Amino acid sequence: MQTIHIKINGKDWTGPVEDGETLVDMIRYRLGLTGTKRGCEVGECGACTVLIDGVPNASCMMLAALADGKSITTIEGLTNEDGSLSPIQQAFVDAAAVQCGYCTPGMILSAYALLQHNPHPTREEIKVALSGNMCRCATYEQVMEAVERASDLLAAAVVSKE
Amino acid sequence: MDKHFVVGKPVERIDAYDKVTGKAVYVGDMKFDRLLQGKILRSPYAHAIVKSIDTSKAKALPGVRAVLTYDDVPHIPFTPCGHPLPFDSPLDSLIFEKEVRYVGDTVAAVAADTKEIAEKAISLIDVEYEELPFLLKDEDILADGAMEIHKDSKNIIGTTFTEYGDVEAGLRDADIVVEDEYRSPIVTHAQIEPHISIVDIDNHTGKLTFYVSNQVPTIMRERLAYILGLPRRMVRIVKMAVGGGFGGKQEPVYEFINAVLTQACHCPVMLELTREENLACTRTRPSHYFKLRTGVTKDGKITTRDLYTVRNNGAYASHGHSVVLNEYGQFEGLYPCPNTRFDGKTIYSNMLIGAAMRAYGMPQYCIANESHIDHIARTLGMDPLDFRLKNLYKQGDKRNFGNYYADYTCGLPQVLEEGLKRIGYKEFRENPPADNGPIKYGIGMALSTYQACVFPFSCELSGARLMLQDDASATLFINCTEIGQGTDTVMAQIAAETLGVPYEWISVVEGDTDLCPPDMGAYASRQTYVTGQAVKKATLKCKKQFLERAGVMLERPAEELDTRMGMVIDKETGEELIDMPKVAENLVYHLTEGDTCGYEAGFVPTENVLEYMGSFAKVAVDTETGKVEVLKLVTCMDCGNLINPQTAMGQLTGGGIMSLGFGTMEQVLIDPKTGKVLNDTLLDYKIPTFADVPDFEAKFIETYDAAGAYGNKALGEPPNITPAAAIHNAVYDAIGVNIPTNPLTPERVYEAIASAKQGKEA
Repeated sequence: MQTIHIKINGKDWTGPVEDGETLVDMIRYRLGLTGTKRGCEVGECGACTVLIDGVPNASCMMLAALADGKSITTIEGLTNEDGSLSPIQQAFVDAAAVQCGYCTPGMILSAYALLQHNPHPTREEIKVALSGNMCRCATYEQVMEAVERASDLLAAAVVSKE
Repeated sequence: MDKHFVVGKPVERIDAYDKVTGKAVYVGDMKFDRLLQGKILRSPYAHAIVKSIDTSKAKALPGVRAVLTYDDVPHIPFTPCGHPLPFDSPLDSLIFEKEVRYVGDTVAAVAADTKEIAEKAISLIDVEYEELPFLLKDEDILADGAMEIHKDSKNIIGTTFTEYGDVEAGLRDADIVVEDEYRSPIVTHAQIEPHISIVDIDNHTGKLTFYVSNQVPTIMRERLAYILGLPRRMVRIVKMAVGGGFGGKQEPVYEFINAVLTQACHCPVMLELTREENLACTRTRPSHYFKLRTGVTKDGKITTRDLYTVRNNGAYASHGHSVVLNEYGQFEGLYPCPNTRFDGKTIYSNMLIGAAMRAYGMPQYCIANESHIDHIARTLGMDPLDFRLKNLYKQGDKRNFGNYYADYTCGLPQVLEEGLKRIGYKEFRENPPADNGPIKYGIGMALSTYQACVFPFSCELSGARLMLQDDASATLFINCTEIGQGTDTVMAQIAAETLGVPYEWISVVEGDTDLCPPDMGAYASRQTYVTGQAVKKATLKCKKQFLERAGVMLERPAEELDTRMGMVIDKETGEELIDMPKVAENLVYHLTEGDTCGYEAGFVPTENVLEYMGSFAKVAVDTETGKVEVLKLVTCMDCGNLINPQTAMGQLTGGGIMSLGFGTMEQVLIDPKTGKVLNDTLLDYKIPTFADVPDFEAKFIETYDAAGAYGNKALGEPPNITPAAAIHNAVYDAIGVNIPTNPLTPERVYEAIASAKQGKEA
């Protein structure tokens, strides 16, 4: 058991974690943020994807203790305080890029991270960036469309700010 | 179809917000004050007798709350099969087995304070096994005097033999007889959410509440009560968000195990399978063998069709022989002819359990049959398209098999026309692309039919209750199961359309057997077809009472009134007369005549209809490596009128890519020496990822079928049938070899090319 300090969805959190506790279990059971899903526990499926210092990672593959000092974003952190949706979430809704929804949080976080560093990805770039997120409903066509829609939404937002 | 104002519109999925924010509650997301963790002890042997079990060390481990074996639980032989009563599969299963029949069979289970303790306790249970010989291959299982996997079964789960006309004479008289064998491998559902459930108990009454990830709540209630020896009133099923079903959650799989643990511990127990258990110990689309013989005339007319098929279902029957019966029902969907014979059987083996998987036998039958059709065409020197055109079903033709299908709409000609245009079939044939070094190009197609429900074979009841609120919004109660395919949204659309209110005015309560009327659930692509009618029927009853109230208020006969988008209107002129919420308020709060307005309806279809679909593929095959690249894939489908074109498209493209996985990469590998599954991880069991998504065009051919609530037929499973077969035929076209199995992995394609070359040289 040791104490760690992290930033979770922009807020500071300090607390104890077990030695063998994985980050996904800490997020789900200690912090109660169940939007992050468990699918395989060995980094194959992508359902547990979270952003660690802005980079998508399989949270089942990291010990919670090793997250000490890091900033973590989960799907709950993308939703605005008033419950309204971020552009990438809205785009997933608009493109119907959701079926059973189990892979959706991880998929959205990977897509969000992609658009952060590449605001106008090609289809090939989307495929590469999201290839670690499996969807058995195979909603892949709609997810690609959602990423493109979000790219447009974000570009429009930048233009309107200017 | 502009006469509808909600039906046919791409309204936002009712569950979209919850799913993109992480708020949707799956079983694993539920919070309890105290929740024990269950774990199953599984057989390491493909076939053995459990001689003795010593649980003392496990029981002594701190944090262990129960260790249960065969001796501690009911011994009521059951079938888990998720079909409505009466039972249509052998009662061959028990909660824990004394004779284990596959690697992974259930021997004992533990409930403990944490998963880690439960796992440790499992490792402390000492079991003495007596190993027995085991059977994997069809020929060994069916051999004379073969060991019986289940006593007195002769290893047969079910058989079907039907013949029309005279097949032997037809084959004798045919100009040419073409024969093919095809074997499809075991594949599995690989839902991203592994199987999971929580069972809670009311310690005063003993009533159990099952929180499940499952497709059939009504059937689960009946079946779990039976397995546990409880009256049905003591079981409540609450279906949570489901992280993928595809048929693999269409029956109790392990929920009865945490139920007995919960009963023993008097507090809720969760049973969450690992990924390895999900892939190796749940349910599969098992291996099928097909032998096809077809007699044709020289000018390409099919006169005789003969099919022999064997489904190797694994250790227990589960859905049993009914999957073969589904192939039976579609046998003449496309190619009716005078002499037809279907000979099918389903058998036991010592492998993991076969059950329902999206499109119930048809994906494997489609590759077998459609590649056989291409083989016949090539034998005759005909183009596969021309051969199909000569033999395809035309509306009004007689079918022997499947003569019970109504025939209101048939979009097959448009499916072909649109698909051929989009894939560029004519251009490809007129100007075939030249080989590019070792790369060869090919084009192929595959067609299929599929039913809209299982009438007339088993109970097809769906139920719905609509409760009108005091503002003319309404709550819809259904057990028609949302598993990601979008049925909550579609049912809300049907209710809104029928009641005459905006879509947003309908809320849905779904998947709870204490709250919602019986419904046979999510399978057979039946829900929009069957539950859609139940929803419409219940809503029409509400609307009738509502318009009577409006008539009183407006001092006009109710028959002259209608509703549209929240307004009461004049039926003749469309003139808007009064806001619906005002009428609803009056209906509820009237001083002397105030009333409720809620109605329930059940619907049982008395006819079944067919969807028609086709896929068209263009591929490049690297003959030096065997790698198949799908250059373009097209699927067209007639499933009647679309209730929601956007969610429908998710099914069409998603089902298509899942089929691509079946055709090109998926296969559960079994070690012939031990019967163990060799690839029980998602690294080794390949499912399609983004990297595998081809250039894919999907297109609906919309018809308006008289049998559906709003012109619809059915949708969920059929998109998963034809793409794999089209890719198969495109590879056949490219390399000239009809590979008699799937998936078309590079090594398999390479070997097929190499052995064909050898054959030619020899």
